[in-house]
Amino acid sequence: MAIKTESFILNIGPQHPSTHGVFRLRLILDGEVITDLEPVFGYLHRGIEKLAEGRTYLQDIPFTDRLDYLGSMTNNHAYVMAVEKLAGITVPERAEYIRVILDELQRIASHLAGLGFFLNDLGALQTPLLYMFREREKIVELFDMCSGQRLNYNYYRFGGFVQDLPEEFLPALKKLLDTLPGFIDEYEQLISTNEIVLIRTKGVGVLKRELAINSSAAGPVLRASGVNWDIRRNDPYSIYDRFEFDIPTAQNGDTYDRYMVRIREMRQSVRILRQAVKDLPEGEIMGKAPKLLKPPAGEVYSRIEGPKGELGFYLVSDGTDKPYRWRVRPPCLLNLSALKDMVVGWKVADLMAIFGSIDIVMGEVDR
Amino acid sequence: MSDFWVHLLVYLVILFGFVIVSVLLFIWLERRFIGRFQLRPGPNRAGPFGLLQPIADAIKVLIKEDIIPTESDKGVFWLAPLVAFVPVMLMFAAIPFADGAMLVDLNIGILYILAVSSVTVIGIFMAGWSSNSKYSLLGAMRTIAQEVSYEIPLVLSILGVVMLTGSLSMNEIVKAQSVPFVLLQPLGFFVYLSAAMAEINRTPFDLLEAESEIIAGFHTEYSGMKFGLFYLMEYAEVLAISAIATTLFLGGWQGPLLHPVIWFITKVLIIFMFIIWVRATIPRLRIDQVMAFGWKFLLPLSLANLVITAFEILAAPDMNTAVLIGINIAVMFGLILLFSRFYKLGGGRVSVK
Amino acid sequence: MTAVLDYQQLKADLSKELPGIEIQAESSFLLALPEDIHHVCQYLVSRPLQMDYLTNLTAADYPEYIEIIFHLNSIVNNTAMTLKTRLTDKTNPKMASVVDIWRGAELQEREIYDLFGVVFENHIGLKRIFLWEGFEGYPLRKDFANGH
Repeated sequence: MAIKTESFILNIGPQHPSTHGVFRLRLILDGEVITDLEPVFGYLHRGIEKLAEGRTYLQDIPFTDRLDYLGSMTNNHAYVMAVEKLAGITVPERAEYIRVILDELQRIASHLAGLGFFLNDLGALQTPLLYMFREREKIVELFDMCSGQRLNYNYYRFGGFVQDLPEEFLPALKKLLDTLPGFIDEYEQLISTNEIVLIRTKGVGVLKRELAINSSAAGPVLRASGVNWDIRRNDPYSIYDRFEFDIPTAQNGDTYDRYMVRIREMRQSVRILRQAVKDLPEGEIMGKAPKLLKPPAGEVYSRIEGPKGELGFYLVSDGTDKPYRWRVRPPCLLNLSALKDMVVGWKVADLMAIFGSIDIVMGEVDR
Repeated sequence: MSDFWVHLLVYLVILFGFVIVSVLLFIWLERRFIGRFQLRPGPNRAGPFGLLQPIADAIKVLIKEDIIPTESDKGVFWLAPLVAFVPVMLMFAAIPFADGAMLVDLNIGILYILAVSSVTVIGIFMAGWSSNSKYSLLGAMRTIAQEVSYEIPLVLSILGVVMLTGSLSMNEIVKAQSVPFVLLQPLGFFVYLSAAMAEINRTPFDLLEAESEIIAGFHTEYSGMKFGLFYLMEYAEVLAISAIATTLFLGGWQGPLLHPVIWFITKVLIIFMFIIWVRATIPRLRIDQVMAFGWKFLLPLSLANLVITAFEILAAPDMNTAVLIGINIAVMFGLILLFSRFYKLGGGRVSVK
Repeated sequence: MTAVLDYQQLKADLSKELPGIEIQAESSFLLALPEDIHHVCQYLVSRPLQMDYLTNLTAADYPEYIEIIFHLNSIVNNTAMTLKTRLTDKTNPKMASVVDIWRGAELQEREIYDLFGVVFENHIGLKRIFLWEGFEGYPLRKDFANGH
């Protein structure tokens, strides 16, 4: 005799401790099992793309900070590189090295925050989060030294940087590079051998390889599904072709793999940082760029490998000092394209684990 | 006759005072301790070392507005905290603080305690259901599943101790521990502590009020003093569990040199520290994994414990204690390692059409 | 290094495979008519080109038309290309959706519908994504005043 059951709709509402920002999910549940899922976006939509069309290129740099606000340096880099391509500005050597250093530091900081919050969603109170934030604090202090800010740095400019790195920066960075690998090993050991984390993440939320490519996933989400695709290797920008580093991938595409790929990427970032700090040349840090930038009419699509994935800028210029079209290719939004396939059939507790492992920041999803 | 009434009144006052003060102390201790685990100081502003923090929390909870959702079932909503809290207080009536120092020395002591502790489940479910909110409902559904399932290993793990003592009275159990029963019944202790942590929703079993999933589970809609009662109930339950574990397994108030009450409190604190340690370190399980752990792992283990204890009592009542302890510990490790190979923890993906 | 495809060669191949289709090969992109986009995309996804990764799908509002821009990548061959189409009817712009070819187009097409007003036929659930239901107008068009 079958028991009559009813499914009910649960709103993981915009205000929720685990949605990494204001994000709404309408779930249709059968008991604890999720049978359908509908994401609702737009709670943080500020109309950045339209606002940027009314301001000059230089005034648009702070907008890029506020996209993925946990990865401001890489956002700046993507935009500044796009405008440099459009306007034909060259960047001196020292500035390129400093850009690589700041990008990789930002990648480590973003992964630390993402992993900390992922473990928080699994229920480990806040203990791993605070341990990871202890290291992230050191990186944020370094950024504070350069740019004066702790979150939205607004440091990059067309052609390089306005101000050089302060003297305390390099010694502090070298000290950090000595201690950071030990901490990364500690995080990996603390969590990866924990039985409860393993049973909650292994095999959960699998994103198959074909679906990952087809739904335009990027970054660690794509690499954890077995696709060896990293813009730094496949379409090198800046001076990444001079550094030696590996691209970590994983085979299964489950939550555990996404977590492990991020840990290994942090190690590779430390490797790149060591090489960049060793080879950092002296020299000027700002190329020739006009004060009021009026790029010639044309368009460009340029991209970098940000911590969340491929961050691209599509700019159309009509010859004036304000952009005609200013488009951000948001990695976080596109990583969510396959959310329904990943989540349906699992339970509410798994939804938080899967969602945390995709690691999104709502500023970029909604712009 | 008047002796009886005097004894009753004195112990009532002592027990109430003890429970309330201990709960406040435990709240402070837990927050400081977890803070140290997380590399931060914990509350240190309200009073020296933050000792007045729980009092500040209590005052805050008392003066907050009591919000009752309009769609809720008002009578049940109002009763739920009481039904949840009162049985926990009733549990303390049969716990001995020193030889004979208890409210009433029931000769069915442990049976009474287990029976009364089961009533809190009803209170929690009433809270979840009457809130008329889907998050609370999810929390309530999980509660019923978890708390009812873990009653069985809880009771079975205690039966070993009862068999060794030959009596259900708590005071007798303490007096029969010439050697603490944790050594003679290591498996029983392990099963008891796991089942008890699941009963009181402590990490890793705290999915009933998992903050990162269902906000606060069954007490999402509660505020003010009603929430305060739930909060009090949780800590009083931890205190009760620690006190029962001390009495049954660690030798209660027995110990050389110091006053029995001090020994009792020390042992309770040791168990409480262990529970906090587990909370600060481990992530939480999913509901189907919790159910699998209870039914497929703890239940067979507690049955095995029962059988082995019975066998030991009947076949070799005069064996040397040290040999017995060695055998028991070896059997415990063997059984746990063996059993963990034979079951799968939790289901996987459910195919949805 | 990602190789950008040779657009003249591409135009020649496409004219051979899909006769009757108007294609223009500019220096940095391929231009097709809105009616033919779906066929062109199906050809691009198949072997040997295998442009299996839709990197970016966006739109831009020009005075005479709304331009839809596809940035495509091939993960297997490490090549890239740009495909464009122009919708000249600005009062009622519509074209076929490519969501059955690339799943990643789903959210981006909803965004174009939301901010430009382009209707994608055969989409699996075309509705506004960032702005609330009941919002009047399409903000990213040039006639929607900045700072409105």
